[in-house]
Amino acid sequence: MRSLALPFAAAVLACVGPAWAGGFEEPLSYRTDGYKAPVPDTLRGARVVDTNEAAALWREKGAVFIDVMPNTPKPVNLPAGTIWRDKVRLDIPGSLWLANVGYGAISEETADYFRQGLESATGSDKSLPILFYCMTNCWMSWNAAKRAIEWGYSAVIWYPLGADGWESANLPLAENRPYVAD
Amino acid sequence: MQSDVFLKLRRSAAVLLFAAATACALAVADPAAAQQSMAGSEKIWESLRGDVVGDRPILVDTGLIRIEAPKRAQDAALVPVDIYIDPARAAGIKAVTMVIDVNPAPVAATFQFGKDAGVTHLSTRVRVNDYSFLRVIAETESGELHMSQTFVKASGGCSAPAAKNSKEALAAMGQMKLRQFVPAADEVMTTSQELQLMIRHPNNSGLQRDPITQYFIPAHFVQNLKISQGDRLILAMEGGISISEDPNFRFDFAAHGTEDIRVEAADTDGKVFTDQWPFDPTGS
Repeated sequence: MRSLALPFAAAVLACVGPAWAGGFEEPLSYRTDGYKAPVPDTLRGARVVDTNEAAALWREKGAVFIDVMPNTPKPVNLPAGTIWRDKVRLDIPGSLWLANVGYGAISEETADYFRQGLESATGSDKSLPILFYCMTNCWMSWNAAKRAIEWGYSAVIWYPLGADGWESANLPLAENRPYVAD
Repeated sequence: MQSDVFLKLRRSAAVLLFAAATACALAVADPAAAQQSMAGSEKIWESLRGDVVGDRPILVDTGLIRIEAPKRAQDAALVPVDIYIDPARAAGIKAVTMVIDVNPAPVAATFQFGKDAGVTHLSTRVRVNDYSFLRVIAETESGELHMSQTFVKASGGCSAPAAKNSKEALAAMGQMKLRQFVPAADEVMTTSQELQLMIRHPNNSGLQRDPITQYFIPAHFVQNLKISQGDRLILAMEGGISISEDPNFRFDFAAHGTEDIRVEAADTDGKVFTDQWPFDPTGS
């Protein structure tokens, strides 16, 4: 039977390819480009959860959910009369959406926004569980979770499958808007 | 006996491999996912069309105008688009609006053609932010709206970093190049010419991040463009954030006389660039 299982497994692996999370070492530093790509299985210092575990945390309110999907604000200098549509973001209900905090390098302004957003979500309690996500095969959540760990948050959870993994398990999504700092 | 068992095993293995390969093919080409994107794009368009054309009826695929683009773009920041206009009805067109449903500023450009310019084909390159319909809507002199659409799989075009570094791009900004093509042998007796205009301009969308400072680069693009032969308008464009870096337009037109080809372009910073070239009916 082993001789059968091997070619089968090999075929499945070969086909799954990019959708296969992991199978490689997590990098030492932030991912700074090609954010939409397979992610590692692990993040040092964080607990990695699948959709079932994330859903359990969500139902029990066992963690603060942080969506880090990037967002492009409307440029201030567009010609008058330009028709503009903000992209509608559907994410896990009750999440705080901290946009653009998952890039590999962020400006001081974005870092302040991220810090303030986390403080407001956790009541400045760094031991409170916080769960980071964006989309499947998106490094933004990996980066953001890593950043939070470096800032001293001690119960960081990473949900790599993100909003589309959540949706494909028939769990509800809700329209959200990026958090606006005070 | 032993070889029989072996054969059976091999057959089962082949079946398993086949099953795995089938599962794989299904997973890769998920038709439902594509459908959903088309429906999503259509839904955005429905919410948008009032702002673009009001509540006037739109005639679809009448043959008056047609848009073509690759089904899957190699570079979402440089998606080639071709617009074809029925030569018999070209003179009756007042304006052509190009829309990319999912782009945050969905109206990519509006074109106007000279009365007797005879433009029947125009191609350019656009940024596409996500799987989307690309549409062209022609408005006729009598007020009819004719639309053609095509679905393009591309993503991230609006925020893709510029191909050139900003210093290089700013130094060359406004430089233009015009190519004039020899009419094909069977067209020599006609007055139809083909031109390609290339303008050096970063055409920043306002959605690109500066890789050094991590801030968004302000929008800065060619907003108005006018191409004429002498004083006769060939085509004019009001452009948005979706026209690609180094705007490039290739089009045919009906030449009138031998006057120069003149171009005037103005960008969102109020900079005006002009250039002109002797008209060359033999191509250059």
